[in-house]
Amino acid sequence: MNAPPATATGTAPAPPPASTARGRGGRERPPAAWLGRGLRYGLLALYAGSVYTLVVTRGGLTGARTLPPWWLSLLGVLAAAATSVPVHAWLAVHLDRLLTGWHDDPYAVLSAVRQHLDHEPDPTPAAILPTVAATIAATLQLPYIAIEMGLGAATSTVAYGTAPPLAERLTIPLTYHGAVVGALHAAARRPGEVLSADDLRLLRDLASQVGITLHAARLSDALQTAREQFVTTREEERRRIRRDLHDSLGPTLASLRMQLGAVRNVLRERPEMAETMIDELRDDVREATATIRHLVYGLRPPLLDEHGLAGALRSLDTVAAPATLMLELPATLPPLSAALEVALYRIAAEAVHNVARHAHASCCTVRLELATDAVLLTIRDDGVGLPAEHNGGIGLTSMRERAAELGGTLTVAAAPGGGACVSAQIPWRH
Amino acid sequence: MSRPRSYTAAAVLLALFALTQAVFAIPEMAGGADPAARTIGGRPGPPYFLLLVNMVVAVLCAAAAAGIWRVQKWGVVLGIVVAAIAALTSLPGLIFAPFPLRLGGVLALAWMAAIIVLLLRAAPQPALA
Repeated sequence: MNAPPATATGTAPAPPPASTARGRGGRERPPAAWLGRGLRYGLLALYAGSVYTLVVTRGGLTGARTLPPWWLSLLGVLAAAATSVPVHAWLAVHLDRLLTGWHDDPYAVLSAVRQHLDHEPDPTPAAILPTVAATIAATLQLPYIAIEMGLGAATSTVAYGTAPPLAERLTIPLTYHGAVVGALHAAARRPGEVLSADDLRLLRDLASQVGITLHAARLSDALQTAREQFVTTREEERRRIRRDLHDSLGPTLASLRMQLGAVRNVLRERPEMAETMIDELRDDVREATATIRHLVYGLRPPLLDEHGLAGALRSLDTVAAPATLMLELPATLPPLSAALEVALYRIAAEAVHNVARHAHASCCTVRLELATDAVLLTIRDDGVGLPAEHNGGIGLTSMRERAAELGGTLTVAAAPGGGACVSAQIPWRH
Repeated sequence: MSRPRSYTAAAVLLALFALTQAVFAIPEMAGGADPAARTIGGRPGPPYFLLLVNMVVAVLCAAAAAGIWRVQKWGVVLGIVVAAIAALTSLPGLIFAPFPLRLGGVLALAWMAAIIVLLLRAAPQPALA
């Protein structure tokens, strides 16, 4: 995907100021450029005059009430001329930096941005972007810089300064590997002024770097969120296991212990009664075993270990009833990670369960495809389709979360020809 | 926003120059417009318009020093302009003034050159508001 070009927007079509001229790239030369030229040549003339005067007056020691000797005048002219070239270059660079920023040295601007970022203790976008915006505004002497992060509803904008009224506004997309990750907004320095060609060139260069920085910051943010989510999930899982063990298995085992004590008491005097109690005990032990199996199933479906993913998916035919389950699986399934297997199985089981409960379908197809970088799981039915106001429930949220946990996505849509279609795409590397 | 050291130095030099100009120009101006009435070392004093220019430059120098102190771009530009004007007004002194005043002219020229260099010198981090 190609990045969209920079666009100048946001202002009324103001007429060009009278004191501007065409610069490189056909853009207006801002008044700051004229001020810079005036100062540069004024200071250069002053410098040359001062050097000549100091030479002909021998550093002010003799004065010059009479004409100096010709050789002294020549020496003064030569000294002024010889040193004016480097002084002119020095004045040009530093006056330009003072008035319009560091256009002449993009490396210095990038270095300044990098230094500011290095000193930023918090690497999240919320902390980095204001620093980047302020640094760009300071280095380019621009009154307004805004960085827009993200697209659509999740967009957030960080702005530095305020845009002068009627000043040209420029929007440059921030991209990473061709994908738009945000936008950089800049405004010209004064009302009615436009950004120069040098401004545009440097802002584009900076935008590419900011795009990379933004992407890295977002990744860092996502990593931190994932870590927190991982810890939270682990703790919730531990709490659930603890609760299940405490609430179901614990009382059952305590009850078994008490019943065993009662059996022991009646074993000699009333063996028939003991026999009945032992039968009850057997039922309780069976119940405890079922509870343990349920707990184990909650941790990881045993079918995955016993029959693999393909076998586990085949076993969903009982869940799909009364609909007929059709499986479209690769001929051979390469070894998948345990997390991916569990996620695929749980998503498929939930979707098939929904088909059985709500779709009134006669056929449900589960298709598993392995692309080079992703696993595609599709569950399609020929039932009544999605309701008009489809909001999804806990099951759908759970499926989405399972896909998102592994960096994937899940979509629910109407299937072509009727019915519904659940598609999960989860990253995977062979 | 933090002020670069070179700006602090330039603001101090400009303020000192403004003070010096005012201290020397006000008594001279009080002597009247006739240069013959204001003799220095037996010679006529500087032309009255130069004294007026010096006073205006002194006021502008004070304003520029304040602007530079507050790290304002207009202060830096004004500082460069008034330093250039002050240097320009000191050039005739190098040629026509009597010896002690000539040295003052050389000193003023060096002073102004230092201010301009300090203001234009590349700051470690661009810091103008």
